[in-house]
Amino acid sequence: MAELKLKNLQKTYEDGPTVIHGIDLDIRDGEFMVFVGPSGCGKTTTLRMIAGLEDISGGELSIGQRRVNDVPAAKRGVAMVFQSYALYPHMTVRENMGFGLKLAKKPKAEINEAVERAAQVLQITHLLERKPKALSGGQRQRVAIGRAIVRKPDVFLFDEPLSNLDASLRVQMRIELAKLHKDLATTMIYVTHDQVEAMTLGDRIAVFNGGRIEQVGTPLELYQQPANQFVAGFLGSPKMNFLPAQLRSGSNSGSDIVLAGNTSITLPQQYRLQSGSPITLGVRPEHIAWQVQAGDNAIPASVDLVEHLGGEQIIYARADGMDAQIAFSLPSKETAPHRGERVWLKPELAACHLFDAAGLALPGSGQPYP
Amino acid sequence: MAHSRKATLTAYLFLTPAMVLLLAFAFWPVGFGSYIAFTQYNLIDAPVWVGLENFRELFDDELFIGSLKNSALYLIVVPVIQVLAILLAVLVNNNLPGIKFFRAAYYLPVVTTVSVIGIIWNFMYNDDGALNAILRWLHLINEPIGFLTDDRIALFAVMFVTIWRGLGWYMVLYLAGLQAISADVYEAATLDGANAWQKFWRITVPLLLPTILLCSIMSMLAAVKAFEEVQIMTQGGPFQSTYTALYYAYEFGIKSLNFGRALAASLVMSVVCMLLAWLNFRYLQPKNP
Repeated sequence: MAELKLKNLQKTYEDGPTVIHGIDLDIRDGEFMVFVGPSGCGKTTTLRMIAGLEDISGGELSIGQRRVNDVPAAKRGVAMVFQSYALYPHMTVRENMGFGLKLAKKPKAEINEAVERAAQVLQITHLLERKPKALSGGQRQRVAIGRAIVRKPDVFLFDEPLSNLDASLRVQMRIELAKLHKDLATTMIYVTHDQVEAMTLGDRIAVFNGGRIEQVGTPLELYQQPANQFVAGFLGSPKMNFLPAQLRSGSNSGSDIVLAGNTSITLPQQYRLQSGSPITLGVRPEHIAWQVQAGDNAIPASVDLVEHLGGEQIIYARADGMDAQIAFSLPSKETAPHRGERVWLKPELAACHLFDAAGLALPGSGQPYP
Repeated sequence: MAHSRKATLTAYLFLTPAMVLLLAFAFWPVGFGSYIAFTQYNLIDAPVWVGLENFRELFDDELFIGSLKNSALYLIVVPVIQVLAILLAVLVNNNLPGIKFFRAAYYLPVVTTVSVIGIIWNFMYNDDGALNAILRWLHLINEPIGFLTDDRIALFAVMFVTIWRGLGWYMVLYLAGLQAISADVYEAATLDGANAWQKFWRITVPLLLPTILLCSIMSMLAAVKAFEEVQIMTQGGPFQSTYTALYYAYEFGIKSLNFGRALAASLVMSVVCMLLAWLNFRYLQPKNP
């Protein structure tokens, strides 16, 4: 087990662009840290720098108390599970799992014991004599995890390990990974672009964008108090609604904002911004109610589409005078408006977020949801 | 039922052009050639059935036994060419500057006509040729070496040209095999603590086995059937030291019009080729899970 320190970590390719622009991050001993972000944001590159598969161009990486910038991958005490599983196709499962120990010239009995113990944990004992091509995707993934466990690493690295599995297997493996982390209590770093994996697995999440970390925090912190519009939009499905607006004036009781369609909304908080400043109102789909009559703080809109997902319904409506489509969700047992129906949408004011013109959350915006 | 019969008929119709070509240019010549091996035939008179007479004469002929030995010796090129081609492929698989030039350069002999290659190497091997000049310049020899005139080394000199000519072809096949191996597998091996040699020996070689099998069969058959280099560079000489089995068949068939003997020799070589292919499959084919 070990903690990791990333100090101003940078990656620049030879004659190429800088892809990681100085990352600072402390990962605690035994923590499950998730790197999440869109494709090309630098999360996998950062993971590969930690693994020792990419050179570090600048900054410092420590695992435990040791600076490991120049330590070879095999001696960093890390094990990695690849997106493609990266099993050795010509070796049996037993040979795959024991390969690292065999190279380390461990006695045969010790290797067998370690392999069988890991196989038992992952329930793949019956597969030990098979070759990878005789395994299903889920079984291959277990073998890849088993190979990592056998090496008893200080840090487990997972590079989008579930993305090649079908939806139901992904859910099952996700639960098993969470259980594995509890059982092993080892530091794990997990890269994914799937926000559900990030939210369900991570003790903390680091949201990457353009080679930088936008925000680090627990899943609920990031969901309820996003530091900026990118994080707010990235986490949550359907994503947060962003409505362009202007701050009109501040009063003792709150702040008035005017949306693009001239709808006024009075928020309970006060914001220190000049009157007339352009802002963005962010509101999550589950924090919008609907009614058939006009009212205070209600946005007039017409329903475009109703999606029935079984447990809930997602309704997409076009607000008057706005290009943006507003999505809101309802439990399936509640009555939803019909397509084309005229409705008024009421955001839950205490759960609204405000972002300035640069996309940063305004101080005071984004409190824990009521 | 009717639909199934129609589908079968359609399938056979689509197969017909290929089948006709195969029949005309592969199966018929093989069948006819095999028949001729048991006859006396000179292209002019009708074939006369002689049973195993051609084979008896063949194995009584010291020249054929010698040429069989030479063909067997020629198999030396197989391991040499395979090892060199794998090493070369590993080398050019790196993303070094100018590597495309080297890939093209190594492949160049493959697309060069064998007659041109023969003439060039005749110049190279000449008493006043480049090779002797270099050896003299290095003070390794005083007298020129008769690469193609000394019966002790002529066969090896011809074999060297075969290796030089085929290297690029096998290199490209191995390169394709190497590029089919996922980079992730090597990265996993890096994390498992494998050094460069262990990665090559424990990952690359086993994963290249299907390609090694293919190249091994191809190069063995090519070695056993060695002909063009001999025909262009030595015509079987000096003192019949570079006679290969196929050159023997050519001499008897095309030059002496003894087609019965020539095709008997060819039939023997076909059996040898099949045996070699079987040995390759037996020992090099990767085992199933």
